Amino acid sequence: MLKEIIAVFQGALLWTIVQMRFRINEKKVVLVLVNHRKRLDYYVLAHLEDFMKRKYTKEAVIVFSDKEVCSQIRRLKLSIPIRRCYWTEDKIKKLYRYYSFYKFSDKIVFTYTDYPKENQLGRLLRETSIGEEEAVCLGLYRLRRVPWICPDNDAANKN
Amino acid sequence: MFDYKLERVEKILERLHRKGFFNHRKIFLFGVSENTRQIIRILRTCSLEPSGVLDNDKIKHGTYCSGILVEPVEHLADGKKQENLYIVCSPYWKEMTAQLRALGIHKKNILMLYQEETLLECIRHAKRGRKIYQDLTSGYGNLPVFLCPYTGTGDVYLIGTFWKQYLEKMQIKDYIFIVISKACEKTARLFPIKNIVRLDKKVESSYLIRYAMLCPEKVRLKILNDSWGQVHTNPLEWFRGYKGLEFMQIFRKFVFDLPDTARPEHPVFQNADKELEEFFQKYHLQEKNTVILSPYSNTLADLPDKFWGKVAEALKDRGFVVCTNSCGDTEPAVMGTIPVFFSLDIAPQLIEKAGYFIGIRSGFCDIISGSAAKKVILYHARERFFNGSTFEYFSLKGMGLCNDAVEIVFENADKELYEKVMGAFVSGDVQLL
Repeated sequence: MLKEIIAVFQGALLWTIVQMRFRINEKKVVLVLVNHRKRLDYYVLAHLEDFMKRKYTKEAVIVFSDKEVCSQIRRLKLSIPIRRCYWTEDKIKKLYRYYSFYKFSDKIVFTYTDYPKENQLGRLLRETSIGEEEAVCLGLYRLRRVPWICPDNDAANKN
Repeated sequence: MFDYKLERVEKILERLHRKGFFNHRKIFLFGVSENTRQIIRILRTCSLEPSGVLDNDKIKHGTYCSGILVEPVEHLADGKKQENLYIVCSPYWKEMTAQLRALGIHKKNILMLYQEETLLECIRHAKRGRKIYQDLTSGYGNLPVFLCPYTGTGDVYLIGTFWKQYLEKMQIKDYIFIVISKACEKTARLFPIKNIVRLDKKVESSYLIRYAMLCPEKVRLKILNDSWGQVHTNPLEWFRGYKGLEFMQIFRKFVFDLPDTARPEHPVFQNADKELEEFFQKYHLQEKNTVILSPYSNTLADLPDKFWGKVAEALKDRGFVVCTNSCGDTEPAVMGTIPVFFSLDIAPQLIEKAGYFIGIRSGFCDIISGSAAKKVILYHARERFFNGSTFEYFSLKGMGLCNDAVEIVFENADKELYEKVMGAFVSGDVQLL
C-alpha cells in the first residue's frame, strides 16, 4: 500500500505544479488529452465551450502528449483563451493515477477510456451504438444532453 | 449520504434551527436527489417545511420530490429572492452556487452542506478498507469479493436473477457477497447466494471501494453495479436510459457481461405456509381478497396521501381488505388501512396469498414481481432516471421480470389515474398505460 500512496503523492505534486504554473482557479478548466482515440479528443475540443459554460469558467488549459493536438486546436478556431502544455504520456499517467484515487478537481477531464479497469467508456464505444461525441458530451463533460452534432473534419476521421 | 455525513448534516441543521437561522425565511432546496430527500426529512423533524425544490432539468419540473413541487431555478427571478434560503448539498455544488450567484442570490442566502473528502481522509479510508478486506479474506480465504454498496433491494434482486448464470460463465465456485443492509441481505437470501456478509456500517463499503481504488492490482473486488458515484473514473451512469441502455440491459451487459439472450431467473419460493397463516390471522387478512398498498419509494416519485386514501376507501367499499406495507413512522400507513410489516424473505409468497398489490415503482416491486397476484405498478410520467423515464428504465415487463403486471404511467394523482387503478381491479386483464 505504501508504494501506491507514494504514487498518489507523486501525482499530487504534478497537480500542484500545474496549479502554480497556470494559476488554476475556479474560472479555469483543464483538459488532459491522451490521444488514444483521436476522434474522442477531437470532440472534447469541439465541445469545450459547452463544458466551460456549464462550469461557469472562462479559460482552459490543455495538457497533451501528442503535438497534433495543437493543429486540432488551431483548426477548430476556438474563441476562448487557451494555454497549452506538453507532457509525456508517463507524466500524464501519473497525474491520472492521482485523479483515479482522489477527485481533486471537478474541472479537469481526462480522455482515458479503458483505464483504470472500472472505466467502461471504452467498452461503451466498442460494444454499443454510442459514438464519441455522445461519449464526450454525456460521459466526460456530463452535459446531460448532446448540444449539437459537429461536422466531421479530416483530422477526426484519421483514427 | 453515508450515515456519518447525514449525521453531520443533521447536527448542522438542528443547530441552525435552534439559533433561529430559518426563522421567517422560505427554504428552497436546489437539486432533486437522495440528499435533498434526506434534508427535507430532517427539516420536517424540526417542523420546517421547505417552500420548493429547484432543478435545472425541465423534465422534473411539475413533479414532486418528497411531496414538494419541483420548479425551475429561473422562478427565483423575483423581488423576494433575497429573503429566501437556498440549500445545496451536491457534488456539483460549485456550479450550482455559481448559478445562484449569477441569478443575483447573495452568498449569505446559500447554505452549502456538501462536504468533500480531503486526500488524507481518502487515504485513511483506504487503510480502513484494507483492514476490512483482510478480515474478510482471512476468514473466507482469498476469494473474489462482490460488493453491493447500495440499499436498493431491487438491484440486489436483479443481481440474484442473473447470479447463477454469471457464476457459470465466469467459472466461479466460491466468493464473498457483501451487502450493507438487512433488507439487502434478506433479498440476497432469496437466492442460492452463499457467503453473504452484511457490513456493520454502510460507510464501510466506501472504505472497501477506496482501498480498491488505491490498490486495484491487489484487491479482487467487483462492485455489482453498472456505475458507482464514488468511482468517478467510470462515467457509465450518465448513459442510463440512453439508446436502449435500460436497467436490465445495462446490468446484464456491464455488470455480468452476459449476452442479450440471457433472461432473469426468479428464485424458488420457500414454503412459508405456516408463517403466512399466522400473519393472516394476526391482521385478519383474507386470502385472495387482500390488497397490499406500497405507496413509498426511496428513489422515485411518491403520490400524495389523499390519492392513496381515496383508492383504499374505494377498495374497501368493494369488499377488499386493504393494508399498507408500512415500516413505521417514516412510512405511515394510508388512512383507513391496516399497517402491516413483513419480512422480505416471505414477501413474494405473502403477496401471492393476498392476491393483490398496488404500488409506486420501487425495489419492493422487483422482489414481488414473480408472485402470481394482480400487480398494479405506478410510474410518474415525468419522473426521470438519467436519460429515460422511470417507466422506460424500470418497467418490470421491459426487464423481463414479469408479464402480468398492470403498469400505469400517470401525470397527476387525478381522476384519470384513480379510474385507471380501479379499472385494473374491475376489468381483470385490462392493461392500462
